[in-house]
Amino acid sequence: MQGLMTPRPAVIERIRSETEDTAVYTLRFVEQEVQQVYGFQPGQFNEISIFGVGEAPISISSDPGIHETFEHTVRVVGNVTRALARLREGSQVGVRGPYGKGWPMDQLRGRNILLVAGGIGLAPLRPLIQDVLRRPQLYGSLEILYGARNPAELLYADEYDIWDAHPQIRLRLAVDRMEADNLSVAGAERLRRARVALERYDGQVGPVTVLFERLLSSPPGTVVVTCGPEIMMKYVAQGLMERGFSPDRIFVSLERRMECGVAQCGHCQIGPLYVCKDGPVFCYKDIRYLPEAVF
Amino acid sequence: MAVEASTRVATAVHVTDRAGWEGLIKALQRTHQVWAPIKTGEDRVVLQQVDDPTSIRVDAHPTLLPTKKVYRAPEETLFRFSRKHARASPPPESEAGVETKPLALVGIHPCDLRALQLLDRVFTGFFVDDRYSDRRARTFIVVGNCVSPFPSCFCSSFNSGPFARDGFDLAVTKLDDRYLLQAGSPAGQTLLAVLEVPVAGADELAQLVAAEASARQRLTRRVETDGLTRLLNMNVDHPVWDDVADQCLCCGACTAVCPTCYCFSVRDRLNLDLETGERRVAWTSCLVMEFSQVALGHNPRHHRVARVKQRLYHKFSYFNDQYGEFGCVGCGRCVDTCVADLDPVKILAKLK
Repeated sequence: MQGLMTPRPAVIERIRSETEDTAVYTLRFVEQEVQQVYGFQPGQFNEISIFGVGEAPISISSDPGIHETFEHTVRVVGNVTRALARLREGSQVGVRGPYGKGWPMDQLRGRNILLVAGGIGLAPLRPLIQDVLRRPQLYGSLEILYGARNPAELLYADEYDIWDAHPQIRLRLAVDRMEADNLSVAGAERLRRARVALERYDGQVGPVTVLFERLLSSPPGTVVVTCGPEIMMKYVAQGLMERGFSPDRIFVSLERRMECGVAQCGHCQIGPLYVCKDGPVFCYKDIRYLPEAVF
Repeated sequence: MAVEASTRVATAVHVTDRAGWEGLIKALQRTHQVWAPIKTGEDRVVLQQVDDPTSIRVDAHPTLLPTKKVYRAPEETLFRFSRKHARASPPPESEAGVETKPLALVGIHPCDLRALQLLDRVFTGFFVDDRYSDRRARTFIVVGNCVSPFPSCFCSSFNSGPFARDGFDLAVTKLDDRYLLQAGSPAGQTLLAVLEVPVAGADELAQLVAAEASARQRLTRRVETDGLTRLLNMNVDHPVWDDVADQCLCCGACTAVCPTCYCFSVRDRLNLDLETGERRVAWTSCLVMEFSQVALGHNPRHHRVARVKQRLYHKFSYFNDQYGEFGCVGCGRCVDTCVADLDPVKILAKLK
């Protein structure tokens, strides 16, 4: 059946564990004709349904240039994500999308990109990184600053070498602390490998903003894209503005409770903005002075 | 101004008596499912399906629940599902929204009609809700102009009354025992022509104009809308919000009876077989505690004052930014319903 809020079935082709509570799901729409016309922009999200449990908005984290499948990096935080984590390869979920305004790819053309991410915030930025890898001629340099709570929480650690090897890309990492508690066997192995990555990529201890001390990017000709906890984005914006970056060149990705994804249920509003339709990506200058303060 | 209003609808004014009016209803009933305001108690007026044309009130107090309930019921099924196949299937026939007969709304007030026009922007604007859109397209609307505004009314502040200007098939104005009718669409014109409703005389036209002027004069409660959005945005920290938060129970009654409030929740309901179920939508309110709460517990509007502000700011500021017009139609239902006796007219007046 058709309908604005009707999901289409999608099969989980692959599940790859990333951290203790986060996994990457590779999905493909069951109906070929749906998969064929499906496409998304970096920064957009899908609504993922587990019938009987509910629906959750989750950013798309795969390469937009790959058309046979799409990926979501999902952290277990509530009912839907917990139910999703219990599924196996071959299970089906409902998907509708893509929704939202993604990263301003047209404004990134020909410019340098300063990408600052925290924790799971790297997931909606990964499609942007993939696009730079795929079509580097469209962009200038890409400086990636990525931080997590501890080394075992670093996402996509297996890809860092690919990213940093590219002449236009430079990666640096930070962790709040070097130790992690209550790790599984796989987690301990992840921690070990991540510590090696930290060595390679100038690993600092502290919030990701500690990496601003030796920033390669400078304001002229650079656009900032950042995603992570709101408190992190607040300090990223502040720290970069202190260094001369202008609010109209800083882009953030916000999250609010969503129940429809199509600007009708009302839940995700911040002032006059619907995070699902006018965002989730916003230019910092457009949200700074909202009556309902964000940051 | 009254003249301007009645000539805005550039069609002839017709007039009929009680028998003619009831005949018109019966004619509508042959082809439509008629919903109208009905008095169900001493002071209770409810919008419901009508069989007896004599029970219809066109000059009654605004209905308990507003017209929005016809297009978005308090609870509805979006679709049914089976967990095994992750596929959605249509809801039961009765909720499918494809009534056997189209709907006719008879006697809703201009404020409620205006509210529907505002809801149209939400449900058929940026994204189109097909079910809402179909139902709206299949409705014949007879709006009942208000000759006698009620104590809480302030529709004129938002250009939603006391008389309607557009958006209707027919407009009826009851003056004593006469029913003055104007068509607002080809369908309305046709009905008047088919029933051979006579054209009104000059006297009656004058009375119609005077009735609107008189009604307008009686609307003494006013909200100054000029610069209202800016006034609100400049008073984010005004002490009145704390006062309101102290009194407001965040019960959500005002949002339920508000004809333009549209927020809804989406919930899956699993049957006892743990296999089949439905995804349901239901009215909710930005005033309830968990409205903005996200998984892991963070709630940007944890504090009551934040929710109270959202309620009023959305209605009188944000909606204007989103859809180009204020979200309030001045029907006064929130004032009548609030258990804490809060009144947006009085609250906004404190911002001056």
